[in-house]
Amino acid sequence: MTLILKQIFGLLKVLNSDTGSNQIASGIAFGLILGFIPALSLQTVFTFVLILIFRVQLGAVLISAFFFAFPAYLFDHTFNQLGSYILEMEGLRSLFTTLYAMPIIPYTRMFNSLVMGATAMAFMLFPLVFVIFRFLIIKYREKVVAKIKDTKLFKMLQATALYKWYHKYDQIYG
Amino acid sequence: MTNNNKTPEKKELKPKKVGIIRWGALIPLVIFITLTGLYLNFLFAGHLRWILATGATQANQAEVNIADLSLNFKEAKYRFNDIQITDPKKPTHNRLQIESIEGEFSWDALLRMRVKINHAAINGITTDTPRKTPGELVIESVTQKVVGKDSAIGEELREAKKAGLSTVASQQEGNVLENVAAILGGSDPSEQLNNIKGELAIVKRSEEIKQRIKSQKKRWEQVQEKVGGPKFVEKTKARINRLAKTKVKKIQDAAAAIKELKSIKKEVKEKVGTAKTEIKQIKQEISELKQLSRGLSKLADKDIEQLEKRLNIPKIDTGSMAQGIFENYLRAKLGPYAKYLDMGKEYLPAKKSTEKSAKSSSSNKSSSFTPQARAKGHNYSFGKQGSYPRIWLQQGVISGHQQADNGVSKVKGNITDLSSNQALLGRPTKIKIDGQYPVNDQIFSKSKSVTFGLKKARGSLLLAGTISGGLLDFTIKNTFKKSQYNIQSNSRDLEAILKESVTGLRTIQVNGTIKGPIAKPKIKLRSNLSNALESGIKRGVNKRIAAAKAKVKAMVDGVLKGERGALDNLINKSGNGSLKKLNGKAAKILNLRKSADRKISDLKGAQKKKAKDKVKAQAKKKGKKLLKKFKKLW
Repeated sequence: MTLILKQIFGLLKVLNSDTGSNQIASGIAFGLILGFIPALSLQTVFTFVLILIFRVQLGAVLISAFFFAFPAYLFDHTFNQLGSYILEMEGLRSLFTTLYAMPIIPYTRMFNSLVMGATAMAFMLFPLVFVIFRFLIIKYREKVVAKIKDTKLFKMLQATALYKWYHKYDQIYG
Repeated sequence: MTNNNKTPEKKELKPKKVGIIRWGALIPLVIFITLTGLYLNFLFAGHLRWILATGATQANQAEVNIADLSLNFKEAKYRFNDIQITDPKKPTHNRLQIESIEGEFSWDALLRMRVKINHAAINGITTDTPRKTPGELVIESVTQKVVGKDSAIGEELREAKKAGLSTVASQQEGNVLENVAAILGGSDPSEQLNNIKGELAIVKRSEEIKQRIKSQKKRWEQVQEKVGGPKFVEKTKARINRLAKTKVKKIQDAAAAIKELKSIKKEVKEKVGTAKTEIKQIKQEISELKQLSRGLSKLADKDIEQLEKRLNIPKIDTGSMAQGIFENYLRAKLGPYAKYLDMGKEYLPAKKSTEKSAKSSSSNKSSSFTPQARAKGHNYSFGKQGSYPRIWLQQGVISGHQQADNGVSKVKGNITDLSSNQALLGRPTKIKIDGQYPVNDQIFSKSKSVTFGLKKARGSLLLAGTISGGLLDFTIKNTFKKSQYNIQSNSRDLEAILKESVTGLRTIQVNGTIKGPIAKPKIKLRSNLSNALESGIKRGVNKRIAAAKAKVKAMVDGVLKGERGALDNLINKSGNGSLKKLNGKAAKILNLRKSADRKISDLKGAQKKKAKDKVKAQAKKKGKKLLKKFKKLW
């Protein structure tokens, strides 16, 4: 729980700093994948590994996965239909037959219509979500954060000893 | 203040430059993977063994021990050694002890998300073996420990055994030998026959016919009246005689009498006609009644059949004797294995429907494409001929042996290609079980009047066959060598017959087939014992059956003869009497007609003579006149 809270506070901090817009946007996009894909499968494990290896904002991943799980639940029927459509495509039949017989690949569970539909939808939306959220974060920083920093209240807060101490601590330990 | 402002500028640290890769997370990840690997290699097997033993103990309600469990992840192998399952009703003994359970999975299949067990074996199964230390019971572990043979548990066990035996006995009751005993030991049916005589269909039908004869008789009496009573004949006769005596003074007198006689003749003719029609009708009715009487013979056959049923005179179907004697026994022997078939049914292919087979035949060439409904989404199968099915036990071996006071029991079993998709695999499941066991006090047929079984023998069972499309196709070869029979009956005749039948038959062979759906297979059996019993019983029993049947037949025939005789008498008396009476009446009426004819003829003669005389007289008169005239002329 502490780790999760730490990540969420980290998200708020990075969101309000000048850097890390890519980290947050990619975290939200990865969260979309985790939120959409229903079962534990190879692609979710692979996504986890990517999240751990690359410097993706984990708080953004967790919050995004949590929030995207709700629309995913509502869109289950659509995912199922999309998955069935893809799996029943005559042109892809031989490809699926080959993949189904290959090692490791069946662990993606993409022979399941729901997993296939959700995975396809998540990967299609991944770049779009990344671009949109990156744009929104930059705009947020420009419009909202800059305005807040310009307020007297914030300047007063910056002048306090506590803030200075925190600022120094943050610079040293990140 | 100024100092304060300057200090942070001087000491301001540049934020750390971070790259795209989170190097800090890699080391913990590697450590985590290494620790997991080490745990799986060194500690997991021990923990799994403890979990399995504890879970099994809870399920068994008595201590279950697994001496050793070794796992080899590299080769995907497992091996359990010395599994002891305490009998909760007899904690000093194991209900089951298994030397080892071992198996080997295929990594190739596991990587493809399939389960293929290359080889699995359950070795050294023994039952009711004594434990080194008594097993702990789950319920009694707090308050009471192990108890010996004389404990309440021991008593309970004995009761359970008794209950089990009585169940087996009740299952074996009512087979073919009981029917044999019923005949040989049955009481004389004569008394019973006499009591139910009145219920025979013949008697009932005969009563119906008698009622019909009575109603016919009434009609026939009415017919006598219709044709004309005795007064009619007398009256008509008197009328004819009166007319015959008519004095013909004038021709007109005769003409009037003739006219009246003709009207009598017409009347009589009508009566004769009616009599003839009725005679014909009565003859037909008598013939019908006689036919009904003869029809009783057909009912006699039915009566015999009914009586045989009522008196429990069975038909000894010697062909089904082997089935009757051994089916329950084999079902009891194979019952425990059926339980495993039920468990495996989930993975065995169901009987193919025509639609499915058509589908698979078209798709088998390239790939089978079968969506399966699930709670969430549908699973599509893209398997092709020769690829791994979802679950596949390539070879399973089972073996066990037990040394007991009465001999050694051995069992060896082999199962190959048990899979969740036979079509994909293209091979049926093959099963072979081969066992030898001592037979002691094995009862095949037990009823109130007869007990037939083996005191001692050396038994062997070979069961081999295939399961394909949810259908069993097995052959059974069951042999009992050095057989010592246990034959007891309250009928001395039956006991003698049975003992004589099996004399010299030391080896019993029971061969057969088990075919059909797993849930309801059909067992067909044949045995040399049944052949021996057949000929022995046929000789002894058929005599009794024939005698009983003859008694029934004689009784029914007697009743039939009596009833038919009575009916024929009644028909003859009533029908023929009426007919005779009517014929006599018709003859009398016919005589009247003849008499009338004669009288008419007489009257016509008299009339003719009268006319002749008249003409003669007139001629004479005219001659005289002419003579007078002639004399005058002379």
